[in-house]
Amino acid sequence: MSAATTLTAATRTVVVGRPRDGLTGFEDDADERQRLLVIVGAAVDDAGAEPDWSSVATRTDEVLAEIHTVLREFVAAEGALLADQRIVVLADESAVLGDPDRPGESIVACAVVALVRTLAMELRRRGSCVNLVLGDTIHRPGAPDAPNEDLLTTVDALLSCSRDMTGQEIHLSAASHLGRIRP
Amino acid sequence: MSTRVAVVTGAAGGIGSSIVARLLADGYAVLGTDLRIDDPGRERLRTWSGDLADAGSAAEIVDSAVSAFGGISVLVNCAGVLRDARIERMTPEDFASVVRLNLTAAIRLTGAALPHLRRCGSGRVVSIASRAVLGSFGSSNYATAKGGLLGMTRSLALAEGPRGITANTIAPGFIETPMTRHLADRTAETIPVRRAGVPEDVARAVSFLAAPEAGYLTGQNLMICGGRSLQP
Repeated sequence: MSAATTLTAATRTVVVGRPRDGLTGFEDDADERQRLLVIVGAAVDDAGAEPDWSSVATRTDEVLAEIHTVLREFVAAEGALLADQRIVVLADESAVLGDPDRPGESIVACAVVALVRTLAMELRRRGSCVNLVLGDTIHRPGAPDAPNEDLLTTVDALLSCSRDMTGQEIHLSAASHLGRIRP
Repeated sequence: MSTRVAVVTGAAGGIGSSIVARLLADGYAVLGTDLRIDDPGRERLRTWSGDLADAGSAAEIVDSAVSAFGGISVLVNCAGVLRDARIERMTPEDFASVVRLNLTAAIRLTGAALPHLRRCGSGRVVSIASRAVLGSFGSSNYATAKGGLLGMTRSLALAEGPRGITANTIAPGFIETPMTRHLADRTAETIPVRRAGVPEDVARAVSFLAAPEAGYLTGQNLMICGGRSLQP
């Protein structure tokens, strides 16, 4: 997915932080009001031997506000709460399960899990759906940046899903998350 | 430092004050912090008043605890605030203020306390999250912040385990406090155990997780909700 990636339907695509190379090619239709994809990449950049916790706190604050603003503005575009929307948030799977080397990314990812669940509750009466896809969104040294066709397929399906498919978390991890507690 | 020392934020609130009382009863020396909190002048209890959301407060609190008691062995992140609104009506200020106190203040304080927790050899971080991490209608700010605490806890547990530090969260459901008392009877009917939680329910769990003997229990989120999280 290093080249522009085509989803089946027009989608507003917003990138927060720096996603890995393979995830930068999604097309963005800035005028789209029904489908939103939020890609959360490396948002805190705290990889290192000893995190600077004050910087992690500051950056976390900024990133979560950015994500919340994107979602709020999309569901209430021009002041009206829109109906029948489809929202997919794509976040990092390793971070959400706890990453000792990147606590800031874990904080953001787990915060996003709770946010998606909450928005799914709030918006379901409008027929809108909010789901979370967890895959490799952050570049890690040594890890391949290969295109992930399953990720594209899953995102695409959730952007066109029925009203019953909401508040879900889908792990695209080839089962590596099994045996670990999910948040 | 022979006596174990606990720092408890939100210590003037319903849950926080109960945690302080429990840890004092367990023999800890305690520094309790809150926006406004009286100093009772007791031997093993000190207080710090101020806004935890200010970036400089973390270092001040840690310095206060170390100068009063010689170190820190337990940190309880309990301070919290609610500003509920559905997402379309939630102002950026309401989102930011809740995240700053419930989450980023806890991150800063945990980071500032870590060197002392490591020195102690059996450091404990217990953060009070919420059942809202499962989703909470009208509380996207609060749920986001509490979810973030889970991420911090998991990462800390993995990173600091080799140094003897454990990190866990407690996720209370409905807890009867002066702020929520008017809802207690009606809410109790919807809870499997048919009663509202009380602050002591949370304090008992903090006491358990804070103990040096609880060193094999880390990275977990303990729901204290009377079974409510099992219901649709």
